[in-house]
Amino acid sequence: MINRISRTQYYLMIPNLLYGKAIGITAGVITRIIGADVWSCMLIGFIIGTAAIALMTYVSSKFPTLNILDYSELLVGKWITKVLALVLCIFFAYAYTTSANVITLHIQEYFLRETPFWLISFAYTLLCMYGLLLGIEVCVRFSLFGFLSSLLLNFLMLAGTFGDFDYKRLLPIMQTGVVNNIINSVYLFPDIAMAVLPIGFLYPLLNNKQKSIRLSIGAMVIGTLLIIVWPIFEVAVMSPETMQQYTVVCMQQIRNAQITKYMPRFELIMVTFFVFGVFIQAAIMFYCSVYSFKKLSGIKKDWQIIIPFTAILSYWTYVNGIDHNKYIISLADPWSQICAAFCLGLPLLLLMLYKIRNCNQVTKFTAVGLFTLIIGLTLTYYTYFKDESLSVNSNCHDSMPQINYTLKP
Amino acid sequence: MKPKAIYKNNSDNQEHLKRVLGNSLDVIYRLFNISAFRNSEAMLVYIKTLIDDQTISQQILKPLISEMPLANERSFIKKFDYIAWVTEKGIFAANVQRLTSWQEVLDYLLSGNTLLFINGCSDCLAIYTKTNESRDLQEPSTESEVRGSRDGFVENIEKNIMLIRNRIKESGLRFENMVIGKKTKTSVVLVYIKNLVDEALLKEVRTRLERISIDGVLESAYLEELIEDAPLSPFKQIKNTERPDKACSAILEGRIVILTDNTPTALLVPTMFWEILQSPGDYYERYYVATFIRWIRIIALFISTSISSMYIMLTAYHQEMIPTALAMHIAAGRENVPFPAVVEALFMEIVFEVLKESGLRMPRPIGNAVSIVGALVIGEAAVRAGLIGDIMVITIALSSIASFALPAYGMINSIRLLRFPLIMLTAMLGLFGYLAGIMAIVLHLLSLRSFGVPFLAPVNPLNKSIMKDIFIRSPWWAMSTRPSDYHVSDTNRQSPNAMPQPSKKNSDLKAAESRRKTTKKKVGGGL
Amino acid sequence: MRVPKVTAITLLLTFLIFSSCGCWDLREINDIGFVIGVGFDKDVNSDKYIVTAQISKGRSGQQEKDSESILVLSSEGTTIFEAIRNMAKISSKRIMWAHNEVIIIGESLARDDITGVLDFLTHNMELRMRAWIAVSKGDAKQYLVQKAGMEGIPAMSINNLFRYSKINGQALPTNLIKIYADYLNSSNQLLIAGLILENNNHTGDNKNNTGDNTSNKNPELQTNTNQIQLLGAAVFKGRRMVGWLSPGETNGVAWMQNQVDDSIVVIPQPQTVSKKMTVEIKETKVDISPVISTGYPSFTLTVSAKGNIVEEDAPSDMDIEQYKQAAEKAAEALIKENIELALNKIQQEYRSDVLGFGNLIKIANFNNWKDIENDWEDIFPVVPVEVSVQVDILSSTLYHQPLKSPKKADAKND
Repeated sequence: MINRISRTQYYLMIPNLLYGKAIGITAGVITRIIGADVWSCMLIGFIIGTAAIALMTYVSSKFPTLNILDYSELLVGKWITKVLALVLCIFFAYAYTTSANVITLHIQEYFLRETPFWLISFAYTLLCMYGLLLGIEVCVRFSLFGFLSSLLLNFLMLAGTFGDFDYKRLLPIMQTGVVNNIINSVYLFPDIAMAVLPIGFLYPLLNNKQKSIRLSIGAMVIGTLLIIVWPIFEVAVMSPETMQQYTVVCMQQIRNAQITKYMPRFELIMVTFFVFGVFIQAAIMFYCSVYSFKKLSGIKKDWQIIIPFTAILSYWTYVNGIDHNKYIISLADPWSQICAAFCLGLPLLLLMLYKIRNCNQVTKFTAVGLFTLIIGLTLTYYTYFKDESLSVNSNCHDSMPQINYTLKP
Repeated sequence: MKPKAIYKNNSDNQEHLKRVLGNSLDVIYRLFNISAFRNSEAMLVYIKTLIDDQTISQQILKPLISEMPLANERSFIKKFDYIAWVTEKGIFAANVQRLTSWQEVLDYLLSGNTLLFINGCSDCLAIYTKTNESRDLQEPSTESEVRGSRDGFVENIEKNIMLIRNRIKESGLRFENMVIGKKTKTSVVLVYIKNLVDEALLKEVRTRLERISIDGVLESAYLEELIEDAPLSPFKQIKNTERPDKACSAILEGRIVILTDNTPTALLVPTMFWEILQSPGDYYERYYVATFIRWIRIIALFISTSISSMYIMLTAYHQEMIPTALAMHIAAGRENVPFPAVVEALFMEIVFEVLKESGLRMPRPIGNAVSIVGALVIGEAAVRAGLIGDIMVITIALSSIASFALPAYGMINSIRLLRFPLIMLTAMLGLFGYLAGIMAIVLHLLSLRSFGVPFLAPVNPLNKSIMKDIFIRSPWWAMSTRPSDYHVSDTNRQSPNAMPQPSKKNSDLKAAESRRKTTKKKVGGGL
Repeated sequence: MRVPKVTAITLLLTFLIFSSCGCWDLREINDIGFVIGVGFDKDVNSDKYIVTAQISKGRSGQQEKDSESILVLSSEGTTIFEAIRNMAKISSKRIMWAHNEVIIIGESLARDDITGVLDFLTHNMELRMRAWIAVSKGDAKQYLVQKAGMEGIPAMSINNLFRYSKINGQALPTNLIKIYADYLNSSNQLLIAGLILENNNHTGDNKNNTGDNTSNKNPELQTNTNQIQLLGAAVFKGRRMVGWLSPGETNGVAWMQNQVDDSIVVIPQPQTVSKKMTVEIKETKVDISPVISTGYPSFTLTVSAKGNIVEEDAPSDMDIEQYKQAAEKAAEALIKENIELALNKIQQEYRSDVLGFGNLIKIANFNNWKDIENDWEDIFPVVPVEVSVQVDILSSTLYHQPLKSPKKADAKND
């Protein structure tokens, strides 16, 4: 069997990688910060993400048959690559837990309230394990079904909430200012990193690599269109204040949807269609983590890594998701910033290394050092010196009400 | 001590054969003299039950005994090739073969040939005398169609080959023979069109068939199980059919048909999953009807695997999804039922499976009455007795019968069984269990290949140009290319732009039209 | 061959683990009581919530003739959730809220503090946000025990009252989505539909005083002819109810919110002013836009409607065009009067921005809004609103001209 993904599957995989978390959980996170501007903020985030994905595809296309760890070995040497592999392994493992917790949160909060949380996270991780044991191409082939079901879900949501669409709740556009929108788009980066970084691993599997940058950009545009409908409708149907209350906003949206008298809320159908897309996200995160570890340790057989990882990751998913509020807060700070650093920094770093690959060691080290310093400083500035009023926990933005019951007269 | 060569002496040969074959009552040794060879002795050995008597007397004995021309005296001095003389000038039989070793002798004898031993000759002649008796060509009972040819494959492989040859008169049509099975020595024939089929696929099929070492092949199903890609999967990766038109359409698409002696079932390789929705009758009806029926089959496929799970999921876990009036009705109907929904579902599924199996095996005279009574009474009485709720009966009846809407009985039979794990998963974890089950099944389907062709092609990997025959049945004038998934070398089936339309320039038609108009004017007027 | 073996062992283990643990969320459908309507009250003496639930008993074909279709349970507790858990003391089935259609808030609770109810209704996943919500005059409990309407379950009748409230024109179809969004909004105040239980003397007959209105089989025995009516609205300020709007005022609010399709306007006839005629309203367009200038904002409210004359109470010999024009003027005047009446009451008496004017300013000019946001409560009562109504009467339904007096003798007396 040849390990190949066709162009269509690659093209449809990227929207799937973005879809799951962005419509519900990320929308909630961003609304709590900037209110009704959530859709313009996400749009800006997606535009930056398109640039990131184009960059990553460009870097990967310079080494068509090698994945990211192999060609960084060519660029920087074996031991730094091992460090990178370790870092990526842990990064993807955490990304897997955030992605898996999307589903476990949906299911646990709305459907299976009594079932123990460890069971749901274990069952889901088992499913991902089965997919990976069959091979990553099988999971990527799943992307057609994931894409179709996301389309169908979008359509159903539009049909069910169209009557309640009140465009006045969206106005005025960009009410918090353009600069604010750009800065707060960092909260979209956990999703974008999940689309950009696996390209390093999956690009060699593509069977026809011509015009791949155009392919990636097109896929990202499709993904944006699919996703951006949700924040727009969520703000218009429920108001931004209602959105701020809820952990999982997309479920609340779909609970308000009604198609005819006989289908009053179809959260069951929503989760059915939703799981197909999110599964691909989780499976690819799992795969990247396993593959990084494989590169790190040199073990030849896949299943020897996958099965211990299943146990570890299911426990980690349980630990991360058991306190729902902490999970949402941890998604915002500092995970978003870390993802932004990886998503924007890693392709840039690799591009820079590629350009200077023929220079001597000293230049290389200086360049890498400078780069890491810049990224580190930006992160530190952002984490410690940013505007306090734009924090997720404070809810103290000017025109948004503070949800504090004693204030109302 | 087993001599490899044939004895020159007839009685030695007879003794040897009697030792090997024993005293079976149908092995006949017919001794006679050939007058043209100066009355040298000859022996015919044949197995009476396999041959046609007339052939022996008319085509072998008669010419040898009386009509063969005399050989020249001089040729007897040198080493005379009796068998060559007999073959060229003696026997009237159409199909002869010269044999030199004992293994060949036994093979040919047991396959229905008559052996001619001539005293003094160390070779023997095998003459094909097998009868072609088999049952009449009739439409297969499990694959009947409203419109279409009414002949079907039979047990005799020669007749099957004739049915295919009748339909495809192409010079590239090849029938490759292989013998499989140590004790049954069944002949297995690969049928394909030489310029169309993919060479790599052919090689693969040959390799897999040659790898089989089994003592007997009684039905083509043995072969099926031994050459599959994923033998542990519940999905069948090789399609079987008893209809010659289905087999021929597969050959025309560039696939390979495997015919087996003594079975009417032909195997078609490679297969895609979507063939479960296709039947030959689709192509003989109007395409709107065929498309509609395809969609009904898709719904039936879904129903047969999922409806019991959905019932359990909606009533036991997620009651908020049911419309309010229906929810109250179901609740009232289940008021006196002692069992939980899962037990109801499993109990009724098992009862229906028992009914189905017993219906299959029941002797014909008793069959009809008992099966109708069984189904109705059990359903109605169980509800009345309070064992199950009334909606359960509908659910189970639907799920049992829906699987028969799909034309390929063999393929759907094992998919039906997936119902049970889905019910168990749904009962344990509600919606999440059901989704996990469905996803595991889909993942499994995505990883299957049938002889190198992805099982879910052309939906996955997506190939829009050949999707004309999966969910809709395109009219014949639109299907101008062959499915390229089978890697055929020539994909043009017919010329493009083949949609029929009335001809614009036909002057005869126009003349007829104008003639009709003028006659109307004469006759016309009011009533 | 290792992978199939490992997969098989994993599957077996999975199955064993899952099947031996038990199904936690499994609830058989016949163990569940579906709540169709719920009412919340507050006992002002003991400060406890009283929750009344109308639960459907579910009838199959055989049982339909005999028993009642609903069971009403009521219990109390210091919080709403506690009250509901206390209901488990008396309920033989597990209560399920997913099919709840109607939420009735008793006046006592509304005048006290609505937060507890709204939080309960939106905090939990079982309840629907599309349920209708209303404030009842008096206690909510009596509305749930009252036999109502033609449906088997009374709460479904109330559901249908909401669905057809636009025809009435004197009620508002409020659902929980809008109410919750308004509650969380910084400037909007709540306006919830009102339910009234009144003795409507024109139904049934008063001859036999035998019990109350519970039997559908002998309608002639009906005596207590209380009917639940969806009429009026309750105005809130902050978290408390401050008063009622009369049906006429609610009609004005309905006009402002464009909820009057298919409703009627009853106006005096052009020729005989003491008699009335009815105009049915078809297409309405309402536009409220703020006019921002320095100083106070003001609003212009433009209503345009199309209507048909459906009824005339007295004959008239006017020409149809003049008739229509006169009717249009009368309709415009009446609608304007209703709207101004409503505005007056809301602005002057209740001083509460239930109409969303603050939001409109915010949309039009965000910076301006930020300046006046904190003083909006004082600004709103004095904000001038200019109302202009335009009615266009299209036809007189099936008539080509107004009904003329048929008898010559009558025409002299008119």
